[in-house]
Amino acid sequence: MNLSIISQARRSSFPTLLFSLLPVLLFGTVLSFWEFVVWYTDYPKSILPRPSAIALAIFDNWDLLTSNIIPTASVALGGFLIATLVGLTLSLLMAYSTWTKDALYPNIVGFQIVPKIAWAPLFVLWLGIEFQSRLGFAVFISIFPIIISMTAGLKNTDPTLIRLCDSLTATKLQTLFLVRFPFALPYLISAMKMSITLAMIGVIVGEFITSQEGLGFLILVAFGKLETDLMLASVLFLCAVGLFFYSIIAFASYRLEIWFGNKK
Amino acid sequence: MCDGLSMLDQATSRSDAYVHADGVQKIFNPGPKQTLAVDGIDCRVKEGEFVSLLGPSGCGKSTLLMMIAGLETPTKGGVFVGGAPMQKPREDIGLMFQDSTLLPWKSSIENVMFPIRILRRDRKEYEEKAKELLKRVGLDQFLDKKPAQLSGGMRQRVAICRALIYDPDVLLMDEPFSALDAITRDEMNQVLMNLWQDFKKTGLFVTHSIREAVFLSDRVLVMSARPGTIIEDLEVPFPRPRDFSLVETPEFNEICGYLRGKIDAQH
Ligand SMILES: Nc1ncnc2c1ncn2[C@@H]1O[C@H](COP(=O)(O)OP(=O)(O)O)[C@@H](O)[C@H]1O
Ligand SMILES: [Mg+2]
Repeated sequence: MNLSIISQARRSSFPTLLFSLLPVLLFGTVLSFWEFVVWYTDYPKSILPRPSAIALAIFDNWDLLTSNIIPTASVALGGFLIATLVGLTLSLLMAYSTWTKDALYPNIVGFQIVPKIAWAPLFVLWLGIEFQSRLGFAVFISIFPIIISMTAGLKNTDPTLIRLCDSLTATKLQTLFLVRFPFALPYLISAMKMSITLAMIGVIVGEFITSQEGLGFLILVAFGKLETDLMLASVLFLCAVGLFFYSIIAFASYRLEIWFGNKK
Repeated sequence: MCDGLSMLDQATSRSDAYVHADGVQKIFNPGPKQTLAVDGIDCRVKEGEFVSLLGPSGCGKSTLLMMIAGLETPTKGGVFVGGAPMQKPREDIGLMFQDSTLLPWKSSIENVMFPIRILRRDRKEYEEKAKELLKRVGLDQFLDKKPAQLSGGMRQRVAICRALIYDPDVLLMDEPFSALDAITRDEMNQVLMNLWQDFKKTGLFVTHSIREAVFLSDRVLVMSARPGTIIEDLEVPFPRPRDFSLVETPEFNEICGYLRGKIDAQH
């Protein structure tokens, strides 16, 4: 009995280790393969530089790259936060007042279907070539998941629980804030994961159009000079920024699970 | 003469029926596709009495309970609780459901205190009582545990405490133990029986289990299939407090057998 437990533990620990290493192994294999093929075929660096060349570009352009993180990251974060706050307020308002929801929600869903990237040049036209247009566009592009997901979450509260609140003579506002809102928080978190990614896309698109700063701008500059290694280095930095934001939200999601008592 | 008698009859019934569903009917979605959920139900529960409602599923038991709670409006007839007509939910009525409907992010004690928060009553005044109640149902070690860390039976115990904390006069219970396993269910029956001994509420209890109904109740009502009407009204004579060993006695099983016959006769 005891022995079988031990051998089971032994059997299961090896695959666990393997599973956590698997993505790293795959990544490493692809990089090595890439490095090897480009080296072997002597492929033009301006089209596909080797991974080692990209690493070198990061090293050579370290100050340039790092100084361009802030303009991109801060506008993306700002846009994301505004979108979250405004989106949340709107969904709460719509959950509270059917009247508001009837008027607003079909319009929001309709707008959601429109390809939003197409609006980017208009934002430049309306808000200028400074950060405001990028911020505005980031808010615009990242607010929809918040509203739609949060509205679904607020609607999905267990109807029996709503009955319980009603039977306790709870006001509409009490039910909304003490029950429906907390229950919808997991929806908010998963919408935020989507939203931060969209905010990043919004800022980069904005930078492509007009900007004189930021990682998106750096990509365009490098593109103009056919410095493909710097382009890829900038993309890598964008990935890092995105990953950083994403992991903060993932951590919030983890805390939420604990708060819900699902994890100890 | 006849009129006088019926008036007298009404007067006495009104005075001793604390909960009175008076000829209620409920039609959902009136129109060509309407559902007649219950029709012409007359149901009276005296003050301090515990009455069970037995009936096939879909016969309108929950609908009747919701009308009594003021959460649904009857399409015909009226509901009176404590002599006053029910028009909207009132804080002198408590509810329990099949699902414990606890808030997952709140601990047992916070869940029990939830009605106090909603009703904006003084928190300090009730905190001791909440602890007392949880102790009473054997959860003193679990005050700070969240629902996910409790078993199904424990969650329903918390739900009972939550229904009792704000001291409603009437407790309406809609199959509160139906989702529990047989052993836990028997335990919960004993827990509820003991609590009833102390709190002396007026209770209306919906269940599918004949045994549970007979064990807990002063009176058992049997409802017909939809549209539900009451087809049997039976007093349960056993003295209180009852111990669960009662269910082994021939007298107990005779009553169960009689009710089973009434229910089976409908099919
Ligand atoms: N909100 C509702 N809208 C429409 N039909 C309903 C609603 N609630 C209950 N019903 C119908 O009324 C009937 C009685 O339901 P219910 O009271 O839940 O039965 P029970 O609790 O006895 O199982 C069922 O046929 C059910 O489908
Ligand atoms: Mg029911």
